[in-house]
Amino acid sequence: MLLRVRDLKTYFRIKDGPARAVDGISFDINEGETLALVGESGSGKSVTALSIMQLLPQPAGYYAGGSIELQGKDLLQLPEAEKRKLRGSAMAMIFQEPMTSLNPVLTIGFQLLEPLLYHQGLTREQAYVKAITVLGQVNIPDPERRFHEYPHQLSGGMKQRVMIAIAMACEPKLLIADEPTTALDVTIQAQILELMKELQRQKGTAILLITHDVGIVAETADRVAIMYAGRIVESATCKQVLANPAHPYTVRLLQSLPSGEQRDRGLQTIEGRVPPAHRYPLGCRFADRCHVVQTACRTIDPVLLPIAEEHTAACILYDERQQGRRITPVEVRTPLPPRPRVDNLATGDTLLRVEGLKVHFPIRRGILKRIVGHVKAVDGVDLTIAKGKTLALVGESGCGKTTLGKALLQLIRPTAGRVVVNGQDLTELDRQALHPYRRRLQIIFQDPYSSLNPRMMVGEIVMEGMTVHGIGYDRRDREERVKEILGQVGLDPDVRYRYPHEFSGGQRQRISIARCLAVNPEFIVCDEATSALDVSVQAQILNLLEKLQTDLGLTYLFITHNLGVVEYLADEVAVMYLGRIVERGKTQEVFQNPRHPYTQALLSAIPKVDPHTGGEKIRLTGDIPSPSTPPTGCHFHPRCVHVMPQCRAQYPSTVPLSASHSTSCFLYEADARTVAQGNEI
Amino acid sequence: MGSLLQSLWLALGFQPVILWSDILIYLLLGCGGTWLVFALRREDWQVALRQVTANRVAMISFCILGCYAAIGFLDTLHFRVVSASTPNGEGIQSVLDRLSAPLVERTEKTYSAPFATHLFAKETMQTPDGRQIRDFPRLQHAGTHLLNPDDKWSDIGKRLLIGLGWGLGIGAGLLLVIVWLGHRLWFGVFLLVATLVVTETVVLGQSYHIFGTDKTGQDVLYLTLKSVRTGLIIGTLTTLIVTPFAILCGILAGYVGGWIDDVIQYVYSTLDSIPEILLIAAAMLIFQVGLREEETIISADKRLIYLCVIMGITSWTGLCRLIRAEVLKLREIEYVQAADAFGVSRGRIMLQHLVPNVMHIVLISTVLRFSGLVLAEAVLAYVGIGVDPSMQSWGNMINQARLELARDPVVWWNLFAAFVFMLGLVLPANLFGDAVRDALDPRLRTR
Repeated sequence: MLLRVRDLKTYFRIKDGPARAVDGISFDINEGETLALVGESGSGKSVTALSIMQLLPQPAGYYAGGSIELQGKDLLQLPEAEKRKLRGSAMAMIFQEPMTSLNPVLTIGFQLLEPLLYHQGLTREQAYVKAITVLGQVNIPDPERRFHEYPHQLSGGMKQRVMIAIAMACEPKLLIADEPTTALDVTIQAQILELMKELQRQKGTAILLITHDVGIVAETADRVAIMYAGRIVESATCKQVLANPAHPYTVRLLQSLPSGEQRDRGLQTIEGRVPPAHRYPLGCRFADRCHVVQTACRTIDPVLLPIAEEHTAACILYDERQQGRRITPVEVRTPLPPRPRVDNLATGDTLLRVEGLKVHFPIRRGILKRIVGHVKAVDGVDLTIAKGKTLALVGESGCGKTTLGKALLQLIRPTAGRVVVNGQDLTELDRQALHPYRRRLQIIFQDPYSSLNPRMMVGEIVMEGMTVHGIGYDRRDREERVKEILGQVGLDPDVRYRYPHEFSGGQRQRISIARCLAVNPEFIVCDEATSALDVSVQAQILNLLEKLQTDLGLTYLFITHNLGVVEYLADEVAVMYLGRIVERGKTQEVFQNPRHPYTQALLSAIPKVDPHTGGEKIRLTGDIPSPSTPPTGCHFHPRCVHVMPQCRAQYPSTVPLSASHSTSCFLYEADARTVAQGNEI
Repeated sequence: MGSLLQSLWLALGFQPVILWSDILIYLLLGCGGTWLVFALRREDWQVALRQVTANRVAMISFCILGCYAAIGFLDTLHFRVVSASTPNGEGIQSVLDRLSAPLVERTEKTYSAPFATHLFAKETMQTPDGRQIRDFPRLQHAGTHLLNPDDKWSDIGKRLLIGLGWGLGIGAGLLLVIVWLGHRLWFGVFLLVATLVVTETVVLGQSYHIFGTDKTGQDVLYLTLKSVRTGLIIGTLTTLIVTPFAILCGILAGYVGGWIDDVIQYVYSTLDSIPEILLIAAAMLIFQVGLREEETIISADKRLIYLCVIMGITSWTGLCRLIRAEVLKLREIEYVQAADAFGVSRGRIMLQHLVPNVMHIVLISTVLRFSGLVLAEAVLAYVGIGVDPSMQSWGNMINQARLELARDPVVWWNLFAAFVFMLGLVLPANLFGDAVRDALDPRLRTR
């Protein structure tokens, strides 16, 4: 047994009494094993990690009880000097944000040498040799040169590798990874997860993986502990949890994951939110949100009970002593019944057409600010968006999908190309002439915290657009409409007089949606609208968007990197790479038969909840090139497994594969010719 | 018409005089009052007000500031005494001058320490028997009732007790009334303390110089009281000249960008590169040349306003720079883009989305600047380009005291009085500013 945590209680002193962030959890990690700690934000995962690392924010946080034994030594009893010796050498931690966890003014090498010199007592020369070896182990190309570079010279994925290198430098027995890939793109995430697994195999390190992504858990973890409101509610091997989830919370969490299979069902949601850590309810903490809640749940605080070998759950459903057991585990797991999906595709009208759209940002240098180059964020995109449908725009960060979305709305003026709505090219219009179109085209942003003005009341926020566009003939009329719309997005009309900071992320996103709806738009760009939300809340918002689409006939451009969401929601998909669209088609076509090598890699890089369906993994090497100096020829050729000489020379033209499916790749040019010839005959 | 008024003034015995700075103060009070009436109709401002009033430190600070403001206001009501012999009136006085007449009239020859009975400097005197001795002479207006100066301390003790009796009597009465009216207890306690301070000052001030006298023998307490108005005007007027200008320029530069940004940046970088003192000195010297011969108090008043304007011109750059940087950040933030997506006009975006979100910076820097300006006035007085030497100000007091700090024994009371009164103004201003900022930020608001 490497790590043994028993009844750990970590509380925080706040105004309203102790906040019980971690409230009596116990778990073990064996050598070479990966335990995944899964839960929504506010469940106490990160505090658990910080408690083990003895890095609690002082003096607010304190240990209210329990023990943390690492290799038989209770960390809570050790003096600070001893703890410092253990930190880094016996246990190490990787944080979520690689951009901020490296010090920007020190070289990579300096930061890597620090733990080696401190913990292992090596000489500078020995430490240097060791550092270079470690950098090589985490697949950093040209480690001697990188050693002397600063963090800003590396990409996000490289930085996270360096973080792993620093953490692994002293070969710790335990590695705590707190959302290690959340800030990274899927293809980079796949690389990092692979790397962690590889290092684990070589060195036998135990990993405590903290994540909210069930897919990652399925691919990497041996055992899983589900956390809710400071407690572990279910613990089992990874396979058991995914196949036979026992606790109602786990069940709902898994059912609220968007995927293609859920498409005809609608997403299961968990209503409400995690209770605040200083006001837990008396009985079961999940009772208020539970779909199989019983009266006994309100009074009895359930404990973890074995329900199978190596499988425990804290729910009175599994408590033999509770006679009032009327619900079977099978009932708990019953999914939503299938429902007919309303398909407005039939109209076939085009709402918006984009032709040759380019957005180039000039790079200026020197005193005279001469233009020395361009960042080609969007570089010639053609799209048609059909009325009442959802087009998903998929790609990794930096591929220009957000810029494209904003360019459609003329929030960023395009450099070239046309955006045609109702026969009118928006790029030709000036600010004033554009005004009536502003009402029809709207946008929902990713970050629910920065998209609402903190100094305006919700009512004012929703009403602003109506005032500008003269909707409703007086203030009272608008007020009525605001109430109606707030109801429509599932908020109480009384929230009009409150400020945005009083709401949770999901509620804020509802306010954002209400703000859009207030002006009766036809087209909404959802720019990563659910990426910042927890899964259960994401499911609520996705369901809401879907309902609004059926009720109001809205058209969405859904910009996202979450392919599960795409498969669940979108009618059509466009895959973007470095400013250009490389493949587009109906959702089923693209997901079941991806043709472009990039699409194939992207789809295979998503961690799957069921690892058997994935087929062979395609691992992309390297990072996304900079859009200021895109590779010659096909932008994707440096990372492509099928690269051919002609790929380096010129950019492939768009090849139609079927009436709705097309891609830009030389692999299919021959096929296309035969298709074309076949048509001629 | 003119003669009619003249006879009216004659009948009343005084003629009101309105100086330029008085006009500005009345305007300020008028605008502030109107704004308050309008603001209090809005619900969110009422919530903010409730939060400020619930904050005890803020409210005590506010009351102290109120006392300063009251002193300053009394000093703003100017008039001339008119009588049949002087139909054009005597010199201009303020209500404060009249109220503190006992202090004004009791001028000694030169320095004397607080509660002293003797002058600070030795003089050659003739004793009744005709010998000439060199000793500290008795003061003419302090402790004169004492037969033996050695009884001073017991006399002071006695007077303190009398003052305490009066103060407690009146104060406790006020306290009871306050509690009976259902107001908060702290307000009553504050009134009690304030009454005590006033009664003790009155009782002691009648027969001693509480803060001593300065080089020309003027009572230092009177000088500090007169300085309150100067300090307040320099603090508020300058801030109010600067703030709207800095907000406008900062937001325009940050949000509109382009050549407007270039011009504004150019202007403030240029202004910043000239040493501030040099600029103020140059401007003040130019002003002095253009000053006509007038009554001293009028020209001193003009000089004060001019100083405010110049200090305003030199100190807007810092705030403008801060606001520009903040707006550069805010213009990319999503709620501004969302407003843009609604087709909200640029003016409205600036007013609705940008101004409220830079107000915290404005408030903090306003409070800091207020303190800074009150202090800067002292520096300018030192260089000789501050307010007119004939106008009482803390800066002038400190400047005079500076010359005497090297004396042995030290002449400390000038400096001490100015310090106590400045601290009494700047500290509550900072505390109150903090509370207001917190109350205006909905994120920090407690419901």
